[in-house]
Amino acid sequence: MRSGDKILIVLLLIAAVVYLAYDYFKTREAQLVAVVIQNGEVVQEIPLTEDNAGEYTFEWNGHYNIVKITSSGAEILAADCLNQNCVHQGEIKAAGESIVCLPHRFVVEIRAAENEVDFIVK
Amino acid sequence: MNKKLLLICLSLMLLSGCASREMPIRTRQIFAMDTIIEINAYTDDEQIVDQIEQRVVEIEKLMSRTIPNSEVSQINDLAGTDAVRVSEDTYAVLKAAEKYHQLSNDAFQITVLPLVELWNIGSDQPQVPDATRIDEVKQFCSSRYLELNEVEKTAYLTNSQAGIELGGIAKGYVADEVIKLLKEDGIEHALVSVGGGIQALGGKLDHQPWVIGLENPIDATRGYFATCEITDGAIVTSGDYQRFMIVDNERYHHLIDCKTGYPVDNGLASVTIWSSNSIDADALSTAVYVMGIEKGAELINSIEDTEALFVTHNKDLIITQGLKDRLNIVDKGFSINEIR
Repeated sequence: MRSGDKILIVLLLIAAVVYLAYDYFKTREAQLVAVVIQNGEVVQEIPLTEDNAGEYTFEWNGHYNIVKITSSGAEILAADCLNQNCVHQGEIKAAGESIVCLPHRFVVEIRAAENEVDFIVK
Repeated sequence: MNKKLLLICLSLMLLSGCASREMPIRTRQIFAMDTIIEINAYTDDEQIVDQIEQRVVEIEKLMSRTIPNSEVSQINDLAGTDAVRVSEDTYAVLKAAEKYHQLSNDAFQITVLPLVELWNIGSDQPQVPDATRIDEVKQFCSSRYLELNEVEKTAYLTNSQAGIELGGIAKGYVADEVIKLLKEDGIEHALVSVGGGIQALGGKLDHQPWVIGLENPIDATRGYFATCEITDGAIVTSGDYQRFMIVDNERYHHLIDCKTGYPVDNGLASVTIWSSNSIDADALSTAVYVMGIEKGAELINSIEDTEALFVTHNKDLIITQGLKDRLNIVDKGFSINEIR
């Protein structure tokens, strides 16, 4: 084996390890995203950051849900549904948690690149 | 030497390609049965989630008490008048309900409808019914008024004031039917959720188990308090925190005890059941919640491959033997207090 070959092999191996490490840490990043789903369709994905903090209004079939986003979580501030279950649920913070407003077919889910749990039984 | 180099390069290319060769996961949220149903299935078949949605809607049309002319509505409308011939689906659920009514010694009753309508928890104008009215109504909440005919496949409510609702069992039936369709389609890895309970099929694509969180029943804003792994089978929770109303600072939840006519009040925040299928887990979670720790644990221990977790308002956890090494408590506010 020539020395040039050896150097090439070592370089390739280092590149592979660096790539795999980058991939591993990239997917492990703790960035949480609030995914807003209405009638089964994802309507908006809002990363939980300071920049995105605020109130978001979602309208559907003449009704509304107002979602409050902070850098740490999401909650439904107000809605014109009859039972108000979604408003009473309060803030969700952890990946896998969700708020469901059944009358408006409206769901807010917290997701991470890699959730610690696949589903939360309620 | 160049061959060696080529081999190394090829292996590295294969290695980096591993992650991208996954089968797609098909997901669908279905709003039916007064709840949300979520399908997550690893499959190349694009049609399967549509077929599942059709099947769910079909079952809802048979078993919803709020859809006029559903089979359950017909049974209720003809209470005290006539028997109703029902589909195999509805009959199967009625038979399962009868089984759990007997096993739970009257704790599980689909004939709770008159009380459910009286309390009407979840409505826009919550109020606590009058005590005399509760007494009047609860006498009609008895399974002795429901007659099933195996040969004719009919159901008959013998008292005009009686009524049935399948809220404590039909969701479990739906989950089992969804899993059946997935299996028939050759799907080996899926996670199905109906109304907050789950049923797992074959773990994840890489054969790792699904990781399930159990929601904190005392304070849902705290997320989940424990996790567990599951490859196949169902997990369903019943608790006082799921549907409730607050009147004069008092909380009234939706699980009504037919014996008292009031929401169950036995110190339990929730009961979670592990079982091989969802209909059993669904019915048992309600039954055992109503029965309480003592009798509930006794019942669970008499049924094979079934486990229970009781959570009290004091954050004490009582588990059956089979859960000893399966639960991972992540919220240190909770602790396993007793194994039965």
